[in-house]
Amino acid sequence: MHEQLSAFRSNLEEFARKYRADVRRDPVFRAQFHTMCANIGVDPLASNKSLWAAALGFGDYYYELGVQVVEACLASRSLNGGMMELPALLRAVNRRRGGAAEPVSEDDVVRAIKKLRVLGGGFDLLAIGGRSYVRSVPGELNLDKNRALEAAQARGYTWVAELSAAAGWTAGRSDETLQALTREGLAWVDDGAADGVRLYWFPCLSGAGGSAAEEQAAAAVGAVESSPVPG
Amino acid sequence: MFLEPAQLTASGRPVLQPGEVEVSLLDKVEIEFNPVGGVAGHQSHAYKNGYAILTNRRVIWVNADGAGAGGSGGADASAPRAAGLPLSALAASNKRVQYGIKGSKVRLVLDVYTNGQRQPVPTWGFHTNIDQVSLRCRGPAPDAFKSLLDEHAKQAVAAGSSSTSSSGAAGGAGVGGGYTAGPAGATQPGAAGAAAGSGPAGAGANSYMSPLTAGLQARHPPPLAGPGGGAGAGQGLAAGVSASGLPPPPPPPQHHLAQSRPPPPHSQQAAPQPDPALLQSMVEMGFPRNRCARSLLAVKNEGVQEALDYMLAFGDQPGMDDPLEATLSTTASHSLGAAAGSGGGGGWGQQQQPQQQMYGAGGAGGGASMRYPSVMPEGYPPPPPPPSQPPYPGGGYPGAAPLNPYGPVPPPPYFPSAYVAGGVSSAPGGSPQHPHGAGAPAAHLTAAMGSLALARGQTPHHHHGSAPDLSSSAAAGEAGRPAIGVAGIMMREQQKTEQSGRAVEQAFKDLSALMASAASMVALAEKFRGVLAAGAEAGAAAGGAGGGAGGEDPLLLDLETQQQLIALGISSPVTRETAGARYHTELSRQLADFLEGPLQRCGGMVSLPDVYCLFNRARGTELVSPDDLLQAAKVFSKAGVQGLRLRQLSSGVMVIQGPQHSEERVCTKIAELTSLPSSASAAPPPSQPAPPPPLGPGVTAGDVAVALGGISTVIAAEHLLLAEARGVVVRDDGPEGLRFYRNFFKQDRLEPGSMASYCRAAGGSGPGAGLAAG
Repeated sequence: MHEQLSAFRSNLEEFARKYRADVRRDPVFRAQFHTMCANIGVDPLASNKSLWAAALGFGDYYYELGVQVVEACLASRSLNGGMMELPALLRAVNRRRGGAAEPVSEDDVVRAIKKLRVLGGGFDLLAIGGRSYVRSVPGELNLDKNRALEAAQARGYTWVAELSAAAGWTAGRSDETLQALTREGLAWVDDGAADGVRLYWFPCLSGAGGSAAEEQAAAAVGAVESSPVPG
Repeated sequence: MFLEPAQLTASGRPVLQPGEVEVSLLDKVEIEFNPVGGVAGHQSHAYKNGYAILTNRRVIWVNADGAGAGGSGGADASAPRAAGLPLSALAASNKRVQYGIKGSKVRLVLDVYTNGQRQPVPTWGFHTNIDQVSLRCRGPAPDAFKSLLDEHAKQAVAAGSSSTSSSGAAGGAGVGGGYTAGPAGATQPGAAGAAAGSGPAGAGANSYMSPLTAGLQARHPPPLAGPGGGAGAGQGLAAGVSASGLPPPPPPPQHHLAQSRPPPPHSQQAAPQPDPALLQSMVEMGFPRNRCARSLLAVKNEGVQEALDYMLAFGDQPGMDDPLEATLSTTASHSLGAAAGSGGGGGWGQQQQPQQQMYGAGGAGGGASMRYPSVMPEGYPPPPPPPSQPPYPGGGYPGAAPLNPYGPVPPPPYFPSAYVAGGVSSAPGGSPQHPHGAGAPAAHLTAAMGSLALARGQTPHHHHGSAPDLSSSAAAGEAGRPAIGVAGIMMREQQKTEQSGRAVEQAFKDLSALMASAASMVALAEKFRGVLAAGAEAGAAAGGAGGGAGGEDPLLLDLETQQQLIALGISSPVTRETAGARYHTELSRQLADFLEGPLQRCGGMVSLPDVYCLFNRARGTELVSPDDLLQAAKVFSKAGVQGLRLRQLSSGVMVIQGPQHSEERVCTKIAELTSLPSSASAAPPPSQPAPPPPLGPGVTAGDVAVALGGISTVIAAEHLLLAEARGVVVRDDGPEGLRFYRNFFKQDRLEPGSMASYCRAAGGSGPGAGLAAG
């Protein structure tokens, strides 16, 4: 059964590559072909670069490659939070394209990402410390911070190691998230802990949704401590 | 004339049936009826201001007046949102141009077959009228649209008709019933056609069924073999009638029946030989010997004149000149094959009979149901040569099946097989039950026909004579296979695997082979997907978290996403060819329909590159470029899409946000969050002035992020700023960070003058202290 599956798959890839134009012409067959590809996991968009596309940079090839790049990022987002190293991305894309198509180079991927610029700034290449990363999730849509807030809710503070353990992230990712929260003003840095580990406090969590009673208590404290500061 | 209402999605695109694909679109089209017509409840002279979409099954007219059901408040019955006309009911289409002073009026006039209630019926069904509906084209010229329309209408009719002919069972049931409906010649063919057409056309659900048909079907199980009913149909049609109603074969020639001559003895069937005397006289007249022999067989040696008539009519059929002896020996097997084929047609289908034999019997049924009454105009499709010439006994026989243009044409020599098959199947119900499946439907058939004229003079010996051959051939067909037990099951599974392997090899030889076997390949692919899914799960369970132990990539789209993509796959993507002038509008509507799923999963906001990837994946090979996507997203409101919006965030990121992020919703939600709990403070003592209400809860970006359901804190902060700009909340920038409270300035109606006393009265609570001091 599995040999049949791989035979089916390789045949389908071959067809997807050779007969693209013909498949597109008949809409009923096209729908069936896509269903076949989707069920087997064959990528119908894996075509080869034509000479003109390479030289002049147009044609469908880079748009298709763009789709495949974004898909690879989507698939791995749960693992790496939206930041993916370029070599890893290259490997993923080549695997998805299957054996029949030519392998893609880094330059092709960079070009494809450039063509996606018109869709807004969410998807771009970053160079950090000499390595290139592809960031697919813009800061605004990054839900890592929410996760950090969740993790910190128990005690009102957290630190990098604990966040990594609770959320299953790498240390770098946790560190990045906590620093971003600090930049936004939602977190405070505390370097005075006993073991030297930097703690991050979340005042918004401790005072969130204060009821009237809580306000009164705070007021009592405030009345005692605060002295009207002019200006 | 009535049209069916067509369903639209939420954004105004037509809902397509499975297997239906869009082909073209014509903008600015009005439908004009003559005199009134349309969808039930929206009858009118014309539907204005719409556009027409051509798919491979229907023509759909869509109202371009937006999604409002009430439309323009007109007093008359306003046009419906969409109306559909099936292509299979189309007789012809003509383009008419009317030249006038103000310019020319271009109309595409469609002729549609309708029944008594003025509803469109398929071409192969029973119709009473041909109604006209014209599409007034105010926009682009309809020439390309018309040629595509003609092409697809032909295909639709051919597809519908061929399914009619091959499903002999349904046809037989319907046709058989149709014949009992009445002996009137004119209506009988129509009834046959209607019942037969309704059978396959309704996919088993007969939309038109006379009470007699229904009664008959209730009494006897539906899977009747084709040939019985088909032969009867052929018979009736040919002569406009036999008083005996349902005359399954072997039917004596019509004119003889009318003279109440007893049906010819069937002893001839036992030895199908042309009468030598008659044969000799015909040969002496100068006709080819083989042709004469076959003609004599066809008319069952009735006479020279009949044989001559038959030969004149069908002498040109291929195979007429083949020597008879070769077929005589095979006639027996053909008859068995046909009978078994009829068994197959009856739904027992265990055997793999060669196609021709199936058609020998089923073709009769098909041929009958293909028979058009002579009122059929030259339209879609060209009618078969009229078989119903009374002098031709050949026409009265089910062997008129050679005239079937929609199935493989069995040459006349086969007809004796159908005849014989009829003889086999029409044996009285007292025939011994054969263990083989083919015997059973024959018994059913005989039970069904038993009450009506037929089976007199059936020779039991003939039946017996053929029965053992039947069972023996059946047994021979399955020789060497253990049919029972686990071994049998395993062997069948293995055979199936081998078959599918061979099918895969065959199908991928070249593109046309793949196209021909696409449906079976799709089924195979879905089966493989199940295997893959099982394998992936096993791999994940065995190999631990995320490892490639299962042999599948962890970085391939995970199974859930893949399944979702398959479910969301767009089978009929909007392209420039299919949408023409309305490309961006239709594209944005399709995008809106598609994005419902992803938006829900992502908390109401998806970034544009993600949309690009998901949308293109769903469309398959029909890529939409990033620019087209951006353009489509920008025209959401113009295209009538409710709720979706393209939004550019402050950092330049573009997202498509769903309805839960609209400004009104967001502000309402934030107001809710900051509002006072309903149980207010206790009633103040009457001597003191009422204390000011407490400030209420303060919210930060984090709270809003959680409350609005899974958005990030950055977006939540932007929402808060938006709410502040609208005056819903006020900010408090204090040592604890930025907090937002309800707009108590407005709600408690504070004046600048009374501010100080308000703050003092509020007891110097946290924020109030700052106010009092400042």
